Amino acid sequence: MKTIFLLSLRNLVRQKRKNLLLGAAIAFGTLTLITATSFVNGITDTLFNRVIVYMTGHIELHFSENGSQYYSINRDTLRMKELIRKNVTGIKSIEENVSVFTRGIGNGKSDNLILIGLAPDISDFLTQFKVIEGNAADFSNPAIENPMIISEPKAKYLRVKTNDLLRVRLRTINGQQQTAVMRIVAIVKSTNMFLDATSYGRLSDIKAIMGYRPYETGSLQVILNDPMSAPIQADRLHKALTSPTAWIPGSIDGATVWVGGFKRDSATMAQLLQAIRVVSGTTTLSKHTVLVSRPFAEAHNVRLGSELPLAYPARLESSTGNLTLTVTGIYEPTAQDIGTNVILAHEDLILSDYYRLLPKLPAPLPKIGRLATLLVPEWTLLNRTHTSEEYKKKNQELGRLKLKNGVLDVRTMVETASTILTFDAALRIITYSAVTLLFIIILIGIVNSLRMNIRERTREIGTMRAIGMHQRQILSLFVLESFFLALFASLAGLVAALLLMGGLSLIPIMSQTPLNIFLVDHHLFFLAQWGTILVNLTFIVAITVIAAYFPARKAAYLECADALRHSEG
Amino acid sequence: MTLKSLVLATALLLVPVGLSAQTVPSLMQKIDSVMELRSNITAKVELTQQRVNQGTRVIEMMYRRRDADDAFMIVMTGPEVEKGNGYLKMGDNFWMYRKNTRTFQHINRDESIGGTDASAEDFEQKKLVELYKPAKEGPDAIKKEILGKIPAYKFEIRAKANNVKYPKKIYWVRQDNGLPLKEEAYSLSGTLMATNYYLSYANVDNHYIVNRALFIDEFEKGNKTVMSLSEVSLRTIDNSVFTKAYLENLSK
Repeated sequence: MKTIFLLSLRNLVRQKRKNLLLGAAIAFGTLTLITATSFVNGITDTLFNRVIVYMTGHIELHFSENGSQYYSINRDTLRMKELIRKNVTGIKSIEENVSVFTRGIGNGKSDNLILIGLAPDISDFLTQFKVIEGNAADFSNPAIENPMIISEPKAKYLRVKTNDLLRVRLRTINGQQQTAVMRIVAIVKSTNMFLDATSYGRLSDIKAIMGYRPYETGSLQVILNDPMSAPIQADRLHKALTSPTAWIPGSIDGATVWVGGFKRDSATMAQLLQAIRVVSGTTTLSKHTVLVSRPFAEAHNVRLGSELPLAYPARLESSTGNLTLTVTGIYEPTAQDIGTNVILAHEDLILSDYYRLLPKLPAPLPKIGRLATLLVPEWTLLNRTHTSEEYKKKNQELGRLKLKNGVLDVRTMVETASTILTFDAALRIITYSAVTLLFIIILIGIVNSLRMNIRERTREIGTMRAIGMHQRQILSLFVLESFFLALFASLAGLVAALLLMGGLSLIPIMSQTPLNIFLVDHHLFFLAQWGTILVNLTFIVAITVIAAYFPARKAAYLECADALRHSEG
Repeated sequence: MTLKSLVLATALLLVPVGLSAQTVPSLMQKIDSVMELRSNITAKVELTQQRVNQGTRVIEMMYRRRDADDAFMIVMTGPEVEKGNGYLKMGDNFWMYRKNTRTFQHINRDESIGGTDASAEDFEQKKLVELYKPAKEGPDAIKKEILGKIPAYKFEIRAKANNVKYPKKIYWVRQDNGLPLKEEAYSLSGTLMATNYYLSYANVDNHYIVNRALFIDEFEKGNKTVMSLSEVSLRTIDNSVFTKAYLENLSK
């Protein structure tokens, strides 16, 4: 075998010109394939890890209240993060997305700004941005009030420099007009045109300005190690987000009571009247009027018109909520599985007071039997959608319904950033089609050259057979020759591709077209992944060996005399 | 401050009477009673918006409003790019009509109207006394001032809840009949955001209607809007007007 091995290498050198030309063709094919795949991988990486990550994350939990989609309000951040960690695998990070459209007043100029809250550690952020003026470390300096990092184009337009003050106007999450004075600590140049319109403040500052409490936040964005697994992971998370009942528990006359709001639509009312029987008073409630059970009323001497002061501890802060409930009805549960300490209230009571101060829930929860589906849940979980069309329809329907309670939506980039993903897919198809076409042309040339080469060497095969070489040894010799040719040529192609990509990525592209979002810092970005390169090289070597195998086999299995008689004429 | 102020401005419709009780709640109630039209109004509205570095833009519209069932309709008549577009509110439903696509779309209460800084929520019927309370109690709560040459009461109010657009407002109302003359609106952090001047009132069918007002953006200095009302009618508006079909036909 060693002899065959050495012979094949010697033959490569012996037929220098032919192999050099053939090798050049293989190297060019390799260069094309690797450059194209690296270019497409670069675009995908830019979209997934530089654009979509900042827009929507790979998965996003979006919360809204009062039918408004303008702001996302997550009332219990830690609990939701915990739920995400339990139900999603391969998490790179969970980011709090707090951003707001503002009107900024600079030095004699004003403009719209997107103000985004950043966690104090901005090392990741600085991989995407280059500080061109100021000191990014000042952003984390607690002595500086409302520090702001602003992009270069915005700073230029607003005529602001570092240490200048920028006044901003915005709307809080509660709809109030709010103003703030931000101090510019750094001016940055983004690596991506898409991020040129953004400016950044400390997450805690922006949350406070917008009216979030420390334990509240906007939407939660999940960044995954494998972005393509987002839809499956989101489906799994969605299943785990079934809403609990929005209870306001408290103490009345020493007894623990659970106040739940029932929905006011006719279908719910009909079902409610099957689950309970009103023994006195009415089910027609106003916001702070309630129905209590007969056993509770008797035990605590409660009558129609009684006023019940209810105090409840907050879940996430050290304060107490207070309500005064007026009894306008007494009910008898029609089933044993409804607790007697359940107080039924108008849904508006829950919708206004529950979110204002999330109540602490003592264990165990009360028995409510058939009431479970009739009471207002803590949130309404929207159905999962898997395409942008479904997602659009869902939002239109949501706008029509104007749900007043909390609404929770689990979204992925597939729905929310579909335009970008479609663009990415189209670009991939175009690139791969062009490369495949080019590669097929090159391949036909290579196959033909190999075939001709072996055919030209048929008499040589006859001689080798005559001096005692076996058919299998001859076949191995030619296959090995092709293998080495393909290996060396593709390695040369790889080196050429790396040099080409390095050279191309040095050329600045100052175009202002939308395609700029695919550039990184105004340069082409190639992502050469060694795994993909290995696959490409293996593919090229395998194709070359297969192309050589069949003519070599045909020649090797010729009779020795026939091979010696072979003539090209 | 444009269409939002239009709601207030067109609502300043009252038979003038002398003010007997001069407390802040009573003055607020007076403004509320003015705002609650309990009738119909049709008017041609012209808004001249002046923006820094953007020049002047004139927005024209036909405005119909009926307070009894909380309905109103806006049909844009200018500029050309907005002509034929409209907005219709019936109770809780608020639609935007786009002439080009001939489609109605539900809009949220926080979306912009007609390219202005007003949103649908500005059109919701809310009473001042429900949203605000006096900032001060006692005799210091109301001050007497001369605004121009008109004797006025000045008082400050604060929002009761945290979901009111302007957490603080200061009003100047005429001493003789309670008509608002000037209003200042402040942000949550206490910055003066807007000053509105109700410059003149017209008498239509024994009702006073503000027909010229000036809205000044105090945050972005140099931005201001002048509102003029003309062709005002208080005739009953037919039920068929507050419908999608009517808005669609009008825009053809």
